[in-house]
Amino acid sequence: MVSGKFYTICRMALLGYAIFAITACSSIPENDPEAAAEYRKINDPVEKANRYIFKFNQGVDTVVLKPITGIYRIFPKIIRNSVHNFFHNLKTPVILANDILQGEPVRAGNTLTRFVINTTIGIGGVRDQASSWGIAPHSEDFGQTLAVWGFGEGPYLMLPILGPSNPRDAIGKVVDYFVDPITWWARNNDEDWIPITRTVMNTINTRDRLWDVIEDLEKSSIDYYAAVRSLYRQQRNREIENGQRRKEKKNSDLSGYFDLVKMDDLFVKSDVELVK
Amino acid sequence: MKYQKFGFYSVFAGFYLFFCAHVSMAHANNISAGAEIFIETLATATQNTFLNKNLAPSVHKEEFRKIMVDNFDLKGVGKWVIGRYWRKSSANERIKYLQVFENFIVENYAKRFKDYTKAEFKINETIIRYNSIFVSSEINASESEPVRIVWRVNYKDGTYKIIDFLIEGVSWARTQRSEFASVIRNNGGKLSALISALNKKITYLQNQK
Repeated sequence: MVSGKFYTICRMALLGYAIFAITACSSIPENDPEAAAEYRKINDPVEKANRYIFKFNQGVDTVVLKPITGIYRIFPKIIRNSVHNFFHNLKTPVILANDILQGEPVRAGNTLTRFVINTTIGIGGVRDQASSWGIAPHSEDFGQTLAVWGFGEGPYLMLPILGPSNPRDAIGKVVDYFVDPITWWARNNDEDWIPITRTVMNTINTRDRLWDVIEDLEKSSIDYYAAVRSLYRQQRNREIENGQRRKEKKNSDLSGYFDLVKMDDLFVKSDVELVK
Repeated sequence: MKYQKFGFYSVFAGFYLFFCAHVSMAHANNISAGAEIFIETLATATQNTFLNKNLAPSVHKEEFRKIMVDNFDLKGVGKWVIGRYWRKSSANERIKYLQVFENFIVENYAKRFKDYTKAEFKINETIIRYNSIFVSSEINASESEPVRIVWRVNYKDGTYKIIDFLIEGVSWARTQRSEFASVIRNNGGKLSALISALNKKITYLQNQK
């Protein structure tokens, strides 16, 4: 009964959001091809609405999230790291599923090994023993999986409370939430407090880890919204590529040599790419 | 007969390509080695400046400005970050903008080094891609986690200049570009709007402790 009402509210909120976003949608400046190209590149058709939501999120951060995280930061780093490790370890099923869906057997193996080591020797996940043994943590989510499968990100979206996103990543978030066995288990056992506590703790933990970055960015940027948009995209692309360079198509084994042959010309006009 | 000739030419072409590749590979190696020395020297100079705590903050700032001007392609980056708006601006505006851009960077970054303590700086690898040299480095300060910075360097007329740096995969130039373009776009496409926004930020940063 309660959950039925909850979904109705969610649906209403979503509808309201859609109407708000559409009415605030700006049109493509077709009469100026350069401006149109820039508009497509920025790919933020609902920028006005996004900026309002961004302001709202900043307000929520100032009033609620930042003060709470500030209190949390009284704990020494060692404890906060343990909290981070514990909640990261709990994400294992979701990360593992996405590793597999992306066809990354090595990373899937790492995820599994990490889980076994950290849950046992790492005392339920509070210590990241696997890292000190050379198996570094990584994150995966369904948004990244969709990207690997070839789905585009779609227009930039600033979600209320949840922050920067896009349709692909937003769908990914929903899928990850419902796939997660902890969500399932809690629902079947009427232990609603578990996913809620986890979400709250994850949020505080993330805010804590981004504390300096956010402070720095707020201070140094001249358009904070645009800076966050750019950072989000760059960060996501990096995560999708898993820190690897995108695989370049090679026609033959000699292609590398051809690149080097061409390089000498390029060095002469070094900033060809930069300054056009 | 015809085929023989063709064979001869292709063998010749093969040798020629092999030769070119070989020469330019040696050249590329020299260029990357030079870039590593360039970054190493730059890091040492910056460290020495900021580790000298006897200097007044204003002296620090001016030393830092010198390092920036000498080692960064400020004009190139300055042009690139405002993209198409550069072409639309007047000569007077351009001069003004480049000066403000330099001040903005100095004000923004000199501060970050203010409380600088000794850290280990090391270069991990250097690769050549997209007409540029990418030097990957790592800064290890005792208390915090290592920070990985990749320097994007261009080589031109015997000198190296930094055109970008990436911290944990996030490009500085690209972030500036999207911010700057956004400010100009939201103010009727005027470069003067960006100049005044930068000036405002500089004043704000100067008033910070």
